[in-house]
Amino acid sequence: MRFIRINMNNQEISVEPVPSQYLGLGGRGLISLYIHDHVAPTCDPLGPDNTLLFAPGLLGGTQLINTSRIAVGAKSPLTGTIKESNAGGIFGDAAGRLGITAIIIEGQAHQDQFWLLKVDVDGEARLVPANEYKGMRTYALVETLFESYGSHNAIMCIGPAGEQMLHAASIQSTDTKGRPCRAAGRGGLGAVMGSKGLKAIVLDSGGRATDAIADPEAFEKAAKDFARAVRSNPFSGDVLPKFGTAGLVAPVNSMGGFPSYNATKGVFEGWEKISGEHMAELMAKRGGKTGQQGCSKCVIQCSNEFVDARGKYVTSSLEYETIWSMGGMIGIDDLDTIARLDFLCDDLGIDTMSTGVGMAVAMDAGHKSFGDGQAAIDMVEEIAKGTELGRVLGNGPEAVGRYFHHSRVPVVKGQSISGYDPRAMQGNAVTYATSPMGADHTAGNVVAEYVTGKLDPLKTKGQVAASRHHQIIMVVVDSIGLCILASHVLSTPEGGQAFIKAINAKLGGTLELTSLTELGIRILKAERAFNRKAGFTKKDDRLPRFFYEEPLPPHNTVVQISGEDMDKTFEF
Amino acid sequence: MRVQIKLFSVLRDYVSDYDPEKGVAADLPVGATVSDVLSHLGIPMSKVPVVICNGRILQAGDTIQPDSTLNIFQPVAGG
Repeated sequence: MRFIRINMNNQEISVEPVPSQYLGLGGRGLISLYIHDHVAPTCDPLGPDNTLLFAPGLLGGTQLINTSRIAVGAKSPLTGTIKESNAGGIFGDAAGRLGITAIIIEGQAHQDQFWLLKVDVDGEARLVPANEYKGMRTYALVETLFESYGSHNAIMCIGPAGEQMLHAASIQSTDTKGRPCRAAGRGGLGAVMGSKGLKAIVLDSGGRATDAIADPEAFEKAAKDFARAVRSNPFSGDVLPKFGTAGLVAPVNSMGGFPSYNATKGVFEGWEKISGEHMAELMAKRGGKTGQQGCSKCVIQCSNEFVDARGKYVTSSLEYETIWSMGGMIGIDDLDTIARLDFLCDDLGIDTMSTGVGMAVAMDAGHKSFGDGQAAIDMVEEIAKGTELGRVLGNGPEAVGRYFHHSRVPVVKGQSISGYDPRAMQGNAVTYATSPMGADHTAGNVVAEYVTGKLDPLKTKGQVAASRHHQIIMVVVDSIGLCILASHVLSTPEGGQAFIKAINAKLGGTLELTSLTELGIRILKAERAFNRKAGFTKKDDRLPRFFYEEPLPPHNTVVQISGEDMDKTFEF
Repeated sequence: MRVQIKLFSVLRDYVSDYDPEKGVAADLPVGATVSDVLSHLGIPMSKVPVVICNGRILQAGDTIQPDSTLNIFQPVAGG
């Protein structure tokens, strides 16, 4: 396994063995330690001193199911913190099978020159001039690239939003059907990629060069046991295959924690029209698809293909967080509008969550009305056009709040919350406030503890410990390359044991699950150290004031975790 | 007593001709618990049903109040 290092100043490429201090690491763990060690925390995120990394997980490219996630990282222009953003599709698996531990993009190309990075099946990397692709939206771009390079490729690319270096720009990732519909969405890494003059990375998906597995028989058995644990679990075995992550709409609304109308209500009246159950029924009627495999080696198959009333493709895959941010958060109860907004964001290469929340702030400020679907679509099109409002919206919800002089802006460290209101889920309040990533939907989501009755979401008891626990686990998950939707089985005896056995069989080690906890803590400490040196203090580990002052109906609670308790989250 | 129930995820498969808009009504003895409701509907514990009433997650032994509306799900985690 190797590093592929690209210097965008002079287009020099070097392929290096992985330095010893990074052996046994992958994904987020590798990226965060590398950034901590090599990137100046005070650098300009859109300047030449930031480094952009792409790293499959430690087990990416192996036969372990659901381990094809790709981690992307840099200093974020949106948050100013260290940032890891994670995407599905086929890129992570392809990178692993090409023997790539990380692609490291340094420096900055000349202002007017765009490039494409191509890695061939034998691992040879080259930069190709890419000015002909300037301005292209991602769907048209990947179609062109597949024509030029063949369909046996995995692509990650930016759209117009990344080229404009908008702070909420995403990097899109192609799925099993070649659509750029998966996203490394959070934190504006598309802007970093654009600032370096890199339009796309095209990896041959036929690689066979993963590191040898120390004990292949034990690995195969552990992989089978893990797959069985994932399939037999009700969430990954029933809910996700049939309804996708959209299956979260109904329980979160029923719990009164679905941030609606710019986080002024916890239940959205129209939620049954945007639930996973309703979407599955609608797609069955129209000839759309649910239960699709969007990512390599996935046994859950939670993806969908959303079609319109005439059966024509609109978008894939429509996920809970987009249904929340483009639905309840802006008062839209129509899946067709939400699906269209999802497609537009994928095509432009911009984060659906930041964009939806930005529009919620704009609507809350009176710019347009909540529920005005056409206004929402027009606002997103403005991002493509690079209009003044488009640039404001593309720079994230805080920029929108400043532009409209509006103070109800649900972000932490510049990144928006996700579809779980912190006032109705106190543990997620802790994660939003304290995660080194800013407010985040995966960094330490505590919702499972509530649904299983282990914790009361409305009380303070146990929330800090739960957030700490889930933040640690998620670092491990993001370092192995495991999909979060398979990760909950790690807390079951069968799943946890199978997982550690797979890691040991791969590396030839004798780790316990507790060793993984140590890894998680080590990475979190490095991320926090970077953020401290970048200028963050404990006052940045707090939610915006309105979460402490405005009770959220129907439970009418506010965030009750004290600052002092928030600060205990990282007392390991 | 009458209880109104809405089912989600594959739990809808346990009630024939389930109407998503109306849900299903159940007549239960006063003092019936969450477990009684699940037995009444024929939902097996292997599906790990989660019962929510008035925004609160109930436990197996909790008593159901007359005229309650229950939403019953399968477990979810973040994603």
